[in-house]
Amino acid sequence: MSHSAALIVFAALVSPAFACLMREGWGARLRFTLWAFCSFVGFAVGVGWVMFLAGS
Amino acid sequence: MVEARQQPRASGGSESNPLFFCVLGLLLPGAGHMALGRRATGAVFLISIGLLFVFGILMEGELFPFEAAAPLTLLAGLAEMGAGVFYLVARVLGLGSGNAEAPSYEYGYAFLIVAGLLNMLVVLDAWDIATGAKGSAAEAAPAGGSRSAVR
Repeated sequence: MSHSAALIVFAALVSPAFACLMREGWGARLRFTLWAFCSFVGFAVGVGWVMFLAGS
Repeated sequence: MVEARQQPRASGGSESNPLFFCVLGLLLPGAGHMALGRRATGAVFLISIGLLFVFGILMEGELFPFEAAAPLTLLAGLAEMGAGVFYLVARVLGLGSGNAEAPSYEYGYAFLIVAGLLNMLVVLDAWDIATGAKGSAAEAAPAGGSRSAVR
């Protein structure tokens, strides 16, 4: 499994669990799931680019 | 889809004890929520934590042994135990020996540790629901806020 695939699987599995813990109502949970998923992936990609640029 | 609100049980017996739901949830992720009447929420926890654990094993992560000489390993082992029945089954089947040479080894044990820790959070959530603490907080929130009181 590649690094990005592991990241996406992790984000996809953890986000709905966090949503059920932190929000009530399925609409709010769905929105939180999408927000958390995008945050996980976005921050990881962002930090990856920062490390790449800082190391070059 | 809206789950019906489940009030803390006032009747006697083991099912009125919040500890019962916590032990249930610790053994099987999400089972505490299911017993509290939140079946869909419990199913989300069961699937999420179960798949996290399975992926952790498939990625050749390690179920850490309990070694008093290595405190960090001890803590990692305790965290992994939080996955309940998944941890027990993996131990019985001899899975989770770990392969430090595998590229996904670190990801694997991170998945296993997160699965256990996430279930501990779920157990605490079940406690809050069983004691009415979470329901009270939701009711105290202002109407129309981002957190709906509907369960």
